Amino acid sequence: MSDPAREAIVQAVSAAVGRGQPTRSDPDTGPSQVAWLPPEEDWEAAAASLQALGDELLVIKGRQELAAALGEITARHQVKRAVRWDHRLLRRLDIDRLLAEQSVDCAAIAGEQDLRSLAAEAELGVTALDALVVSTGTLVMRGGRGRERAVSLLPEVHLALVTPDRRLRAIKDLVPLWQQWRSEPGGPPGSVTLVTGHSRTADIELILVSGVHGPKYIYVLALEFPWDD
Amino acid sequence: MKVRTDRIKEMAAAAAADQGLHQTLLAAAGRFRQLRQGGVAAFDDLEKARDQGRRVKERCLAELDRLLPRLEKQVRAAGGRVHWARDAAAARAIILGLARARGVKRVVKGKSMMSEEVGLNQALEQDGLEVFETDLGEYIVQLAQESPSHILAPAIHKNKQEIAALFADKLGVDYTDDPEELTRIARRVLRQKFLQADMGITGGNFAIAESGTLALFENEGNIRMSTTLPRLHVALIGIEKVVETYRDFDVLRKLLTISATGQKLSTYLSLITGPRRDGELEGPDEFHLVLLDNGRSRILADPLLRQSLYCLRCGACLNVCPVYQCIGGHSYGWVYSGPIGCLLNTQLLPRGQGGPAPFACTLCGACAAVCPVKIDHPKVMLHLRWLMAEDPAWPLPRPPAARLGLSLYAWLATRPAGFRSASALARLLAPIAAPGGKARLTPPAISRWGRTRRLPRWQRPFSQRWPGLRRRLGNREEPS
Repeated sequence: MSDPAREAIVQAVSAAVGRGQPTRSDPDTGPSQVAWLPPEEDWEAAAASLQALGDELLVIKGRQELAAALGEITARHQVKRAVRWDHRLLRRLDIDRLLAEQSVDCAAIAGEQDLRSLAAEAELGVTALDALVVSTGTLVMRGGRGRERAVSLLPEVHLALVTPDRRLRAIKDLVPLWQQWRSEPGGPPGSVTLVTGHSRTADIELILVSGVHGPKYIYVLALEFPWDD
Repeated sequence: MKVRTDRIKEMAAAAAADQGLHQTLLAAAGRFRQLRQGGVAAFDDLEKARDQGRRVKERCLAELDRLLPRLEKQVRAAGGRVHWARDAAAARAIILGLARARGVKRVVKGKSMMSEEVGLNQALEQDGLEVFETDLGEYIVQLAQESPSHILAPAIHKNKQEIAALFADKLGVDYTDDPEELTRIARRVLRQKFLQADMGITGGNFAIAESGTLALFENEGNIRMSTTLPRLHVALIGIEKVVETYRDFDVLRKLLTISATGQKLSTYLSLITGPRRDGELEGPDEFHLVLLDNGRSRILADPLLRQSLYCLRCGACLNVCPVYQCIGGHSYGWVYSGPIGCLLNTQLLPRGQGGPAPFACTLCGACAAVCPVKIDHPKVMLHLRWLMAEDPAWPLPRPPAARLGLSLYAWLATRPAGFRSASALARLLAPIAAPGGKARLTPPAISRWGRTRRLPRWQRPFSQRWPGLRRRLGNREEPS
């Protein structure tokens, strides 16, 4: 802690704001209640938000519909390889098998090198959402083991699954969720990524172009059936 | 970045004469204003949000001496390291030291004004490192060996034909001026760089003290790449970027994106707290946060100038500024441009070096009207002019005749009888000295000043003219 630059800066700031010695209080803002939307609410607002961003939300009412949706999306984008999170929801839905039926290879991620090469080569990345903000169409994903950021970043198509109990009205409703995560053992997650629409740029003559570095297409599958049977 | 602020006059004259550039700037500023307007129209009570934003910045800066150590503690608790840099040279040394110690060869960078401020790219390249800007606009500017000209659209001064020629020349690809195709080329080239890079360098829009979290906004995904793939992540931020809580952050983030591009939220928002955790398969092994002062604590000490540090770098003030739209970003001669550039360049550079930019302002106030945190640019600008005029360190023209004239005016203005007599004399001479209101017989000391200005018409005071005006107005019908 005996960094002279640190001491000099803190002292200069302290003098600038008119304090003799820096105070060292740590007021804690405890988590408030997360305002999840009622699961019975429809998906219209979320679908409209995603559509406005040029992306798509599909309401899925059963396993057959899920298989059909996966078939359509993988065919539309000529998906040969997919990479996915190691997430309970995706395992219970047996995503690997459903993709295999479409001749899409979706191998499990074994290690770091594996993740990099799989994510770099896959055309499709499959994740599950921690939250979906309906007013903005924002996908919220906490990072971690089995929830790799590269899966929603490197492939050209991102497919995100969400359940009705993970919806929030507005971005500001994320604050209690962040506070809640922060107060969990281990502290705040190493990364939280918010995705509002697909990757885009207007850096050349302000002409909008999709899919610069991140995915060009986003699909959200809203699961309206008891998947945990 | 080379400081050329003293050349603002000649650079501005050259830029203003460039019709192509002028059209590009007008179109770009117009488009950004339109985007912002669209966002603002759908925004619930913008004025209230701006007041809130202002209050958050006021409080967080007033508490900064407490928040910086708190941020440091939280970043360390999450496994990250915090470095303190008093000036640009210290920041460069810290980052170079990290790169050398870890044998870094390739660096990918996310768009960061801070890195321009400390001249990081040149320092890294001189040390033999390969440095790649990865924001599309920044990449274009880097290939062209130029500097960014707009906070949000760094390559706005180049048209697609110029970019097409640049790509063909530097990347050896076939000439195409299709933005879609040019973007695809950049994606392909940069994707390899991301996968090969050892170090990712970013700035940061906010640092949240209560959790030790760095918040990064972007639309392309290059910052996500730079913070996810390399084994080392270094974030360089100014000390004024610290906010206390998630709630403070939430107030400012909505103002930032609405003011910048009219978006409720940018495509990506990354909240990063420390490096990868045990057992994780990705993310950097090390996370380093470099906190840079570089004159900020000095600005903080002046209650009026302090508001310059409220800036969120949204770029809204640039897009409404009549001067910026005429002379473009490069004319300002250093990192920051437009109204906020006039304030920051002057204050961040060593005393006497920031150039005469605060004088290159019409004080129209359009910037203050759109600023999401209600910075009163004209007021700060006037204060800076006063400080600069009083301080001999600034190389400003101070002709003795002008000094004499101002002293004479000050003397007259405090003596009503003398002032009235002088005004009467001026009214008498005006038709000869300035026919049609245009100054002709300006004394040599102020002839340069007079060349670009029209003298006001000398008239009798309004109080004396009012009875006659009222009679004339009284003859008209009252509007119903």
